[in-house]
Amino acid sequence: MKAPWLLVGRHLRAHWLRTGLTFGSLFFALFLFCLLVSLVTTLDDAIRQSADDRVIVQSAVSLFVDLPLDYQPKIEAVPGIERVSKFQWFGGFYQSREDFFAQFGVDHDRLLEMYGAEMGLLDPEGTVSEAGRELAQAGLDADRRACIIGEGLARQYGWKVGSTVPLQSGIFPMRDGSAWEFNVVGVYRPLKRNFDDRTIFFRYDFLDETREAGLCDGGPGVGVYSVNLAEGADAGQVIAGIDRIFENGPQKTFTVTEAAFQQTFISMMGNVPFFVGTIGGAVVFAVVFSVVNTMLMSSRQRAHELGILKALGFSDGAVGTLLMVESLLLSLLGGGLGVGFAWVSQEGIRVASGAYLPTYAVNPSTAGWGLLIALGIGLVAGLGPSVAAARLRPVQALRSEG
Amino acid sequence: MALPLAYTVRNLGVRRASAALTAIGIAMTVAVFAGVLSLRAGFEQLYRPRGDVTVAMYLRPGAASEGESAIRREQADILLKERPEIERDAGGRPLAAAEVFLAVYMEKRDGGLTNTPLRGIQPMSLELQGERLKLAEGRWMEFGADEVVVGRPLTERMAGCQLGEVVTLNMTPFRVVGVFEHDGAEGGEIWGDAERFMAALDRPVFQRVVARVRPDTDFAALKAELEHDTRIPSEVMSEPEYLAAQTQATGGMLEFLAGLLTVIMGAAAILGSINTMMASVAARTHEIGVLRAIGYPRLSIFLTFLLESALMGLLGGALGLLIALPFDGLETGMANFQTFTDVSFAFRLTPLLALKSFGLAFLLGLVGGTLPALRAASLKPVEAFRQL
Amino acid sequence: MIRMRTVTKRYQRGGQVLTVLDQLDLDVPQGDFVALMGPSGSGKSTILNLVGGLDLPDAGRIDVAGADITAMSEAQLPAWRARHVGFVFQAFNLVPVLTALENVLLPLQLQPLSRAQRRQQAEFALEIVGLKDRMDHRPKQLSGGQEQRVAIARAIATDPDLVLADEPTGDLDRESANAVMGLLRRLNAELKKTLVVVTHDAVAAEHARRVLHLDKGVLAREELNPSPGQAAPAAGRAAR
Repeated sequence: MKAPWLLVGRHLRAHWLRTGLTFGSLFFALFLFCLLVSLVTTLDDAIRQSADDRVIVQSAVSLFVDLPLDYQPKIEAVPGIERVSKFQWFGGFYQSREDFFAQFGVDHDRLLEMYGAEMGLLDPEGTVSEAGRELAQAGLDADRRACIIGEGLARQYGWKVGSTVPLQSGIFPMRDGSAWEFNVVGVYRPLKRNFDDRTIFFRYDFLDETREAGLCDGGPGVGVYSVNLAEGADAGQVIAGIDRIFENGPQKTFTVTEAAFQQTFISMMGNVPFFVGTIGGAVVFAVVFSVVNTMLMSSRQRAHELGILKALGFSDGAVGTLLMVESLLLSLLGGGLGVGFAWVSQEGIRVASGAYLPTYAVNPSTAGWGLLIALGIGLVAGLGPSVAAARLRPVQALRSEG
Repeated sequence: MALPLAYTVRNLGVRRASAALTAIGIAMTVAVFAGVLSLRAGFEQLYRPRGDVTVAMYLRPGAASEGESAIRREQADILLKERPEIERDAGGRPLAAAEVFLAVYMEKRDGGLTNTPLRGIQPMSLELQGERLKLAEGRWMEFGADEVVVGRPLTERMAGCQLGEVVTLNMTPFRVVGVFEHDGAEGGEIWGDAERFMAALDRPVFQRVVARVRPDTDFAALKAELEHDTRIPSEVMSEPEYLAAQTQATGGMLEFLAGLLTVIMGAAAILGSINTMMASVAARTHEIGVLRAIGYPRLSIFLTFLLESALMGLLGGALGLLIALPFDGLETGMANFQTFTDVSFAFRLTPLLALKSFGLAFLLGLVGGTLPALRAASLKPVEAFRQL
Repeated sequence: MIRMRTVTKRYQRGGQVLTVLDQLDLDVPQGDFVALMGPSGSGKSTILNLVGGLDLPDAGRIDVAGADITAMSEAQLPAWRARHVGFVFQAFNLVPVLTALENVLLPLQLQPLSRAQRRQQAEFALEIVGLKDRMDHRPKQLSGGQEQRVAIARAIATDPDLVLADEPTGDLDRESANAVMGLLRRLNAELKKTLVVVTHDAVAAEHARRVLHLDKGVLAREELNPSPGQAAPAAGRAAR
């Protein structure tokens, strides 16, 4: 199809302000779209990516009630179980309360094995390898104050193997007011997208000893037990089996799959995801309108010029296509950049949101949808004007202003 | 000196579709702004301190909220009996109570689990609440019995919290014998006898001591004194301070969200209105020349275009408020990230917030209209005529 | 009324400097009716813009109604213009969103008059041009000729001494053109307004008393019409 394609670029440049403004609106809209959708998918992902061969044993009453230590052997006796580890929430912070991230006291001899699919330990060269795991395990075994930290923390605070991390705890404060000190023996990299890269794992036995010695506050017990199922075991049966044992106390248990456990946290956020999603939709809708508006304005102004083109001999189709191409170009560029920016800002947002969205990520499919929407906007916005342009009668057009 | 208002208003009408679309963009921004902030207002409304009396909270040192706190029975006893700042009633009893607090799992009516605040109280707790507390249905629980009363919002949002139903804690059933209303955060809690709770949960610790203290209490000095006390080390704070700490995390997050969304949407809305106004100026170039020829000064031209954009903004503002208005009073709940419990509250669109929203709309229109208005005003009449 | 002395005006067009008026001298006595004619680029519209204070010359002096407008500041010109000059353009004179009456009121808004006074003067102006019965109509409800007459009403609403018209009949058919020119002639004859009309239409020019031909920015030729308007007798009857 012969058409003066040159005009497309020239027009966009000639009306640089209008082009820029429309471009900007598209940029913001698509960026926001990706941001909001990603907030929701991040939450969903957490559930979808949960291990299906792991269950969490917790108190049926509250997340904040501990389970007795003697529950562990009883759980281990249930058929279908491969391994159990304690998980005690430490409730600590680094220098100020805002430096907030998760810390857990765990069974150091089992953690790496149980979470092999989620945590990859880094060797001195910085790659995930078996050597890295062996070194980390050796470190955990040797030092009572040993801890493993996530890559995100290593990056943020500059900690590495050999560093000492001082922490204050809200739940187990040292009676003399001093800080707990842990020695980093390994750095892990999450192997699954929903696994937080800003967690510290230390030895539960060290915590327990310190408490028994009267050096810190806090009660005996364990927050939750993490249980890896044996191959081929049925999660439902294991769950029922565990809860049955403790039906009559002293603490009733509520065992759930890891996915369900994650879901609880999300559920607590109430309707926020819903509101956020609705807002996202509204925003995109509003901006689409504004872009359509722009295209209409632009085409109305160019009736005269289009009339000249037709008088010169360009076909109706060519003239119509000219406008459509302009619309598509603008939308794809503006929208595309918005999507692109959402993509590159993932890390920044993850860090900025601190502990709230440790696993924030933009899915490739979200980005794909964003681009599709940008394309769609271009098509919708360009449709009216391009059809009108195609149908324009030259004589009429030449008489109008412009 | 000024161009007639009719001129401005009718010009908006000429480019009806365009102006409407831009106004919608502004309306959306304002609606989101008002919506998120009324969510925050509703949330913070729960945490207003009582003005009439001075109340203090005693927690474990280092604890920022009840959830992190633990006070042993003996410590609680000493606090209640021996602290001089705590006021006493006519009979000499300290106007203070030790309370148990725990976020317990409960099923929501519409599915999903959430952390509901459970509070074990002492008889004095009821007196301390004063007028803020009202019994709405049934009766207060009997101390010593396995009975609870629930806050009104819970009866609607949670499963199994209606009058006569049973709430099971660990293995002990507690019957719901009453429904209460409280205008603070406590309004969405389940209350029962602290002793019975401690027994049922096998958790013999209190979480806080709440007391009415002398109005002239020097909190700073009190803090310093108790922080390192050997028998009863405590973190003590005034009620306003305590409440502020509770809302900080969630309130801060909502404020951040409102800010982020408003900036992004506002930017898009401004861009939209600049676009519309620029087109308006471009289409009326000759007209501007004629007005200048008649003798209207640049300032008039500037003001009329600015006004046009501002009007569009106000229209958007009105529309946006209309969208946000139905949310006012809508009951909802969300997690207080600080205490990790669910709080029930309603959206609150205060008159001040409505005013601010209007102001935002006006501002958006104004900012969006400035550049085009400047362009219109700076047109030389001769240029304006040449455009045609 | 108008005195131009050694007026020079240059324009930049595409990197080149064009001298449109070169040390032009021009006089228009009070009560005169002058038509400016000449090929495109001869500077006739430029003269109108300069005399009306819409633009300033690069050199020379212009006195209008006794005032040296070349010495006025940018801020003073609009106010002066509002009081002393009425403009009529070839097309798009009227503001589309305002009615005829409101359009005529526009220049009056700038004068310190009461609302009643303004309305009175506006209606009077419309009556003169014979369109008082259409005063609540919008421009799109008027014919081309009627639009131009409303434009004239607006131009005389503040009772200025000088009326400047740039191709007022350019877009009109012969009948409407004659009506408009006839009206202008009446303004000059009966209301004693000084008129300067730029036109390329020789027939329209015949309504004027003097016709000045310009070529390349200088006065090439001057003609006198002893009995203006007589050349097109049909015009008089079609004025209604």
